[in-house]
Amino acid sequence: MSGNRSLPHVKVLPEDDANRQLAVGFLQYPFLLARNIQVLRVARGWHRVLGLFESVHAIEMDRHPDRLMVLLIDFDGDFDRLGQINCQAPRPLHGQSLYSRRPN
Amino acid sequence: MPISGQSSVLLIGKNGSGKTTVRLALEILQRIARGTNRVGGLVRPKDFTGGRTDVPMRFEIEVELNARVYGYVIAFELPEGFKELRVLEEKFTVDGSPIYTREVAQVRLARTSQEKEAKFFIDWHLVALPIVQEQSAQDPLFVFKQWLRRILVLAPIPALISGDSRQKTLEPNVQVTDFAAWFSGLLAYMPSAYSKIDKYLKPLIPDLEDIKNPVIATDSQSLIVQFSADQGSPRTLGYLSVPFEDLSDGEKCFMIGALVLAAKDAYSNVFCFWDEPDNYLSIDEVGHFVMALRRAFQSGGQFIATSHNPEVIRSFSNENTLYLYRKSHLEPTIVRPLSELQVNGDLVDALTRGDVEP
Repeated sequence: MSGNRSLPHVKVLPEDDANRQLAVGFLQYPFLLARNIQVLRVARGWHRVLGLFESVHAIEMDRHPDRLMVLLIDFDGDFDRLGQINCQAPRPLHGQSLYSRRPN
Repeated sequence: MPISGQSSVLLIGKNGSGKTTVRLALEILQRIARGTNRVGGLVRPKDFTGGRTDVPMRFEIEVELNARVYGYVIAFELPEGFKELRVLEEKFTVDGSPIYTREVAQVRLARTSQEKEAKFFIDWHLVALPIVQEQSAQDPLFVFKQWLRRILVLAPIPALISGDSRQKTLEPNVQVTDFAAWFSGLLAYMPSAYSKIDKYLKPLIPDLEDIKNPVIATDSQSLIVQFSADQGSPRTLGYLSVPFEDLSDGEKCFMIGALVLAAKDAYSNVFCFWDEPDNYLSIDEVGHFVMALRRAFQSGGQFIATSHNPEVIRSFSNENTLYLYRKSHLEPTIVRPLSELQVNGDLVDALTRGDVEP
């Protein structure tokens, strides 16, 4: 019997293995409700992150309203990428994305 | 094994690379601390790698406990004409200084400020560590032996675990067939451990009400797990009592995980080696299960896991993953931190392709 999906929970979709390790390291933070966070298999490229988000996770978010998604993407210094991401995001999520810039 | 300073480490590698052998070596050291001192009860002639009896079989362990480094070494040999191995060398040190040393039958106890060095002879088929008497609870021998006795070396077989117990223990066996005795022992040692167990299990098994351990006969108890109807459920069935042995294999592993976490809180410096903790768990639980153990051991002690499971492998970073490798059964195992290996692309994909090599 698995955990309760009707409680707020987060799925992290990392672009690559470096981002996966970053997320796994974050889960070591002792005051985190780590059971509510799951790091998914790496998407292998930010385009594929968006593709997977659109084809799988956006639909699952509709089914599970308490789910939040973290798309862990390297901007590689190109901040126009955020615009592209927003454009590709499913319509109900337009303008709802938050991003954080990792220090170089 | 380069595991010093890491709160959790994952051992990966192909079948036959030596992961379980690490567990077997720890079991031998643990059996010594738990009182097995006959060499024939620990190792046998067939245990020499490739039958090479000309090279002594050596076990070494070093542990830092409360800012002191305890070291124990024991080597066995099989002289020609012997049917049973004998002790070639044995040494126990604290911060590099010997407490006792031994060569074959002669044991030397180190000189203290009050006493001169003492020598005595011991049967060379007996290990000295369980025999040398500790003087107090502060005696380094006591500290080390207690730690080694209580390390958790686990490879559970849930189908063999019942809920019955006739005694209490803090020292479960490898297959955890004495789970009920461990549960009783842990709660007797520290009753508040139950709240830790409960806190861990409730999110995993939302309808878990409690675990009871009633006396069923003189000196005999049996675990009963009680489930309740979900809150808000239109059909209220009340409680359902299930004997522990009737839980699923995965649920029994959740229970073992809960006891590991409770033990970690109950006594300090717990070392846990769990051979394939993903066994019996559903795929959505594997990552959470391993991550809970990793997080718990961040505050002290050490957790080592072995696995072939992609979800477990993804729950560790490269710097706390060790890759074990050997070219053939005739060659020794090579251990390398994953961070020192070239892995192209996703690690699990590289392992699947068989492209990870030192």
